Amino acid sequence: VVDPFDEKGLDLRAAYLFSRIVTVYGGSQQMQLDTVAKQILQLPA
Amino acid sequence: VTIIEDADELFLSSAQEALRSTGGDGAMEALGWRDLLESVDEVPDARLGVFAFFQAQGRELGSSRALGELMAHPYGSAVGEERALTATVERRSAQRGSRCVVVGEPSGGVLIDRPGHGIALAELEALELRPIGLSDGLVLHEVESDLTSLPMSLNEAQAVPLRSRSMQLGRVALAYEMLGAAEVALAAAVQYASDRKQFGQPIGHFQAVRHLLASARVDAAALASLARQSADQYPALPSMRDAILKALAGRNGRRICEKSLQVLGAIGFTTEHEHHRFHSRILVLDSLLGTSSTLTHQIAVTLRASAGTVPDLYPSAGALRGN
Repeated sequence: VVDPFDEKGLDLRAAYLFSRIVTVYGGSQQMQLDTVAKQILQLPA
Repeated sequence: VTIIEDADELFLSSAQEALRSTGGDGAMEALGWRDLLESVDEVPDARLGVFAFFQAQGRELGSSRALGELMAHPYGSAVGEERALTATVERRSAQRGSRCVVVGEPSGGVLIDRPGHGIALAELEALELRPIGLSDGLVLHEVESDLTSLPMSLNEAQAVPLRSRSMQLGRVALAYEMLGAAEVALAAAVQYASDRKQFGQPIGHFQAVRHLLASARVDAAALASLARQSADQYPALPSMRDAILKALAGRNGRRICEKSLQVLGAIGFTTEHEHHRFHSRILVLDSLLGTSSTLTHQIAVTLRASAGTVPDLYPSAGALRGN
């Protein structure tokens, strides 16, 4: 269990918030699912 | 939907063909199962062949003694037996707790693992077996005999290192079989989404359906990747890898079937449609050698017991980081 206001907690909070943007790099999840559906599953566009 | 490619695919298609034409135990003979098993520790291609057989079994909903023989393999020389042995597999259910089951048609000597006591070797005719009826074609018998009366062939100290290898082989094999069954369930849903029309176009045109199927494909790819990595690394699997793989296989296998069912709609919930058979196979396999929920709990307990130091579960990731 981490105290959200001590030094480690602040580091973890910053890392968590930054991690959100990583999910959008290279295309959001929605874009990636569309690519998988089209290119791999070859579902009709 | 094909997850693993190239040479593996060739063996996989041969195994599927053998399972279709001769059934589980006949396919084992036709594919040279005994030779593959003898080389499973040393020869990577033989190991991949063994696990591909399980993937094919999942795709074809085959039933054989392969799992029990694979799990018995590490014990073979230690118990002084040259004939093929079958190991029982632990199955846990909410109603009946932990039970020993024999997968496939039983024959010959049966190894029974009793953690804390050792390994017992019993002849089939000395055991009381109760058949379990399943809709997916898997032949399963539950051992009803009183196991406490069986003499131990290996004591607990002898059994511990062999048990670990047996468990690793069994869990990787089950992950491959669940992958095979999930692939077919997903492929059926993808085909249905391409064929079935609503509002003048295939339902696979609509984003809600496309994304369901795409996320199921992502689940399958993640399972295939970890299964292949584990098959490559055996017998030097990282800590807890077999538990992690089996937990992932159970979780992702179920998710793939549930998402496929949503796409299939009501037709997928009929006895006439094959979906329920693949779904059933995954649920049964999830109950063997630890369910996804119990293994996830065990992994969390182990991590907490490590007192804040997270074990390096993926040494290859450490190498990527330059550690």
